[in-house]
Amino acid sequence: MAGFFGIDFLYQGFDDAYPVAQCPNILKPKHLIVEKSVHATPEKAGLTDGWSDLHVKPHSLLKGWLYTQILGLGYAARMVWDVFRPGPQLLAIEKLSELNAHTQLHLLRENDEPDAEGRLLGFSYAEMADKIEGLLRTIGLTDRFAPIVAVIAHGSSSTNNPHFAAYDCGACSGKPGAPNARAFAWMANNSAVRALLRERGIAIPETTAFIAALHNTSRDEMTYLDQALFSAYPQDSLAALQTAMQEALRKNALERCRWFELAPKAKTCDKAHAHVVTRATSIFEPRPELNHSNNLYCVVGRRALTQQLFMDRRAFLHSYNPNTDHDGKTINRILSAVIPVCGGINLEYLFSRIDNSVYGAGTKLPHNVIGLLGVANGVEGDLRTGLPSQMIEVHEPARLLIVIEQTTALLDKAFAELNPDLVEWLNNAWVRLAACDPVTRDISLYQATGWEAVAGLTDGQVPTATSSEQIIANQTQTIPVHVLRRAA
Amino acid sequence: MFSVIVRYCRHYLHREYGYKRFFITIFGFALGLNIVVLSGSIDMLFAGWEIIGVSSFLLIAFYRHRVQPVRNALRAYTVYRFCDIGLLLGAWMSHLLFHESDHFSQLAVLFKDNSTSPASLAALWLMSVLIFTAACGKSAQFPFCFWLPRAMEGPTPSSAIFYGALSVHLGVFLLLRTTPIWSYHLVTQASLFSIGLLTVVIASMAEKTQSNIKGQVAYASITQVGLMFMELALGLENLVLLHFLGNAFLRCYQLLVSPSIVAHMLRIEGAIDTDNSLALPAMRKRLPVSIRDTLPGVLQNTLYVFALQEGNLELIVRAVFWSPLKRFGAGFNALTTRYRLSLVMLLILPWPLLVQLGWASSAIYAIPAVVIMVLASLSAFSQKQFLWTWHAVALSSLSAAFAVWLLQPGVLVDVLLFLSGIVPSWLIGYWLLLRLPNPENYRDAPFAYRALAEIRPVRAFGLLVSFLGLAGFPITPAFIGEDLLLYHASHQFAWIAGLIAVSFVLNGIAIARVYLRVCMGKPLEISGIRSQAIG
Repeated sequence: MAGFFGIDFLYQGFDDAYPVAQCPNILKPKHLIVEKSVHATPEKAGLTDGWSDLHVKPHSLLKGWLYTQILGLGYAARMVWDVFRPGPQLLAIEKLSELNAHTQLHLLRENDEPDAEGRLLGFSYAEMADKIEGLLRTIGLTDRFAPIVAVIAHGSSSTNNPHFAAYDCGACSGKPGAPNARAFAWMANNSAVRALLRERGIAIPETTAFIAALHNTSRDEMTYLDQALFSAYPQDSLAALQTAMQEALRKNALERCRWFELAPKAKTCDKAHAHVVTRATSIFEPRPELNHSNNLYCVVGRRALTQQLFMDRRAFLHSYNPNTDHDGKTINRILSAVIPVCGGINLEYLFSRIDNSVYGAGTKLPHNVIGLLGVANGVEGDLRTGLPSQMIEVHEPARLLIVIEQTTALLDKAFAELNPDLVEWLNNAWVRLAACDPVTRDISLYQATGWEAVAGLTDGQVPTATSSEQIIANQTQTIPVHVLRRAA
Repeated sequence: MFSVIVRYCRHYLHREYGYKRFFITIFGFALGLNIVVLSGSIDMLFAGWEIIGVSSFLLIAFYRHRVQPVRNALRAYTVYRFCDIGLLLGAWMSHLLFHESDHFSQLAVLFKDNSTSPASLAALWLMSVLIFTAACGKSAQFPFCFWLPRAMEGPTPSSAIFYGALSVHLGVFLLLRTTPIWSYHLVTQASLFSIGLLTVVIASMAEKTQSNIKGQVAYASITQVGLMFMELALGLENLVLLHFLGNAFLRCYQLLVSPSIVAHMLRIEGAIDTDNSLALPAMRKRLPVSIRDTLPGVLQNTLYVFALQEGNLELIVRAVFWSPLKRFGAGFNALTTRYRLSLVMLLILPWPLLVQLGWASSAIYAIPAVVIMVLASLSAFSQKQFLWTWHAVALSSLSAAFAVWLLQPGVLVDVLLFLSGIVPSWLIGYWLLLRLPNPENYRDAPFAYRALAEIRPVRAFGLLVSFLGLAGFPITPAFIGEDLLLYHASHQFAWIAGLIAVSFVLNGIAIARVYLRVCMGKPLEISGIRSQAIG
């Protein structure tokens, strides 16, 4: 799970001056969530009093004269240190993605009076149950709950990078999704919410715990949120989850490293992981990560559909149970998220790649931050839109292919109810859509004029391999889908 | 510092288009810097100075596809070139005044004996003015502050090392080197102090209204350099050295981490109710409430607009220095050939008559050549056609050489030395300009960007070399010849040396424009390779 988890709200973090929307740009959230310290006396470090920030503060003429003479030489040492020994001590983006463990979200609404700006402070139990039910039904998780359900948001940390928001969660308006994950886990663990859900037919067993985490996609690290509550969770499952997650992150780092030319030549998970961490903390790194640069598929269906497939990190995977969606309402709900979010991400890369100087932001190396609004190439000139060339250079221009595990008949019925704006995406082929029949696995491609049968590849036509390491070895381009088969 | 930047760039420019070009240029800069620092006399220093100027010019225009960096490169180059008059004539004067003992270390000895001055006061004043001009241009001091922020067009680390750290302090370095010359008299010290003061006033105000981070750092740096000028004028050389180092490292670091400003401002917002730097300035808080806002609104707005327009320095400089020359040249170019010829005849013919009548010596024959030189330079300066400009510049240089030969027939060897650099550069450049791709679209857009660097990189490099040669850059003997010409010219008429120097400067700017127009720009791929005007 990723994104904003269907919970849209304004979020005011512990240190924030004002709340920001944690939901897609098109939604106007009505609820305000405030993060509070669990300690009685909040320790607020005077961030701007520190000596380390002198070079970013405005000074009067006299102070500037004094500081330049006295401290200027110190910056020689600092510059050498930052360039030769990159580390996280610089101005990293730590505000939202590296959350303080000593806080909690104020989620439960105590009274229904909206505040001066018409916002409701928190959610009621019924609203929480709506949100949780909505998401669980969408992904088809309504029974057979595991002991631990991880709610993992994503964010990214990078250094000296004005484009950092482009690396965070697009469904959270360019911010890490950690608050949403925390909110979701809190709500799904709440006994009052669970009681309401039980009435609506989703029985979450007592033994199941939801835990929130944040995947730092540039450093490939997992931050488990609200760890204070962990002692109540089944310990062995938790440990198993964390171990598996760690292994997955290390392998992910290795697979990502094949796109970085300066990555270590020896291809081991440890070196790869150390390399991606260095990338995120170096002041001279224009490519902390490459994001969704090459995402091409979006597979909506049961996970068995993509089981044992190597997809080269190019797929958005959305769970969906075709058998419980009788009227097409669920698939419409999924599509109204998948088409604008995944399609939007794909088109953003596509257009920035097609003409980087017009639709994209050009190379980011000369970029100059203007008025904290955007970047321009020099001191004057147009603000640049789109993605910089460093983010799109490995993108192979192609439109997103959405594959839905559902019958064409039901999809036709669903599309009749779908928002006409989204149908335009499909009819004008801004995204391509195919249906995979749940039973026969026949594939039909959606056209404005009707479905067109497509011959799928037979087993022999798909390349096979025994491990992903074997596939990615010495590959520098995108790799077609492979079937993974364990060595006999 | 240079090694830190190079190490930084290895990653930062990784996979960037023009990676090699960047490193070649930045190493060229390092070479120039070393020459400047290690040089013993103004001549040698001038060679390094020129190399720095050209590498700076090439790095500003690093992103040559877009028109803005190219324009700003020319803007910086124009200021550099103008201020080169200072060094060019300064080198000549140092020969004239100090003869063989023009080594920096000997200067101090010359001036040690306070009772006798090595030169007349007027000559020293003139020399000081020349040095100040050179220093002000390179260090973006009053009235040339405007070019520095606009030069931030290359990759961030190149801006950091040039305009944050090293290049911008060269003016201070020059002043430190030549301290005995300009500190000799109170008037020159006072004028240096006022240059610094004016700069500090304008730059510190302009800094506050800059909407972008690099512009802020640039003006902060200019302010500090202005303070250094003031310290120098007060004779605080050791303080200047400390200040110099501190400012260089601080600004370099600030520019390198300038993209972090977004993250930093988010953190400031986070600490909004702690004491933060967005609050009232301390000075204002200390004022009694009653007079805090007494500055009249009109004055406030005026000051604000003044700061926003950066003191209007660019307009002033253009109106004072460039527009009259350009207008004259454009007027001359607008004449038909017949009128042009008659005008030239009118200016040339009277002089031989004077000699015939016995009213003047034969050296006055040089004056017609000087007239042609000036007219050719002005014509080139305001002409917008590649070949015309190229030939006019060559004609101007040849006339200068001819004039000097007429003045001093005995120095033919030195004149030939000068020509041995100029003539090949001219002819190679001419040959390359004749063979530009797609000559048929000259007529529609005679001065359009033609992106030769992209289409025919080797020829573009050839054109760069011939441009540098024709401009008297230290890669051909013409660089030494230039200095010698000035030296010989001044034996008869000192003002001719001045005119020659001005012509050289105009020529340099004119052919820099030709080079930019021919080589820079974006090739548009419509029916094969065909270059077009940008925007």
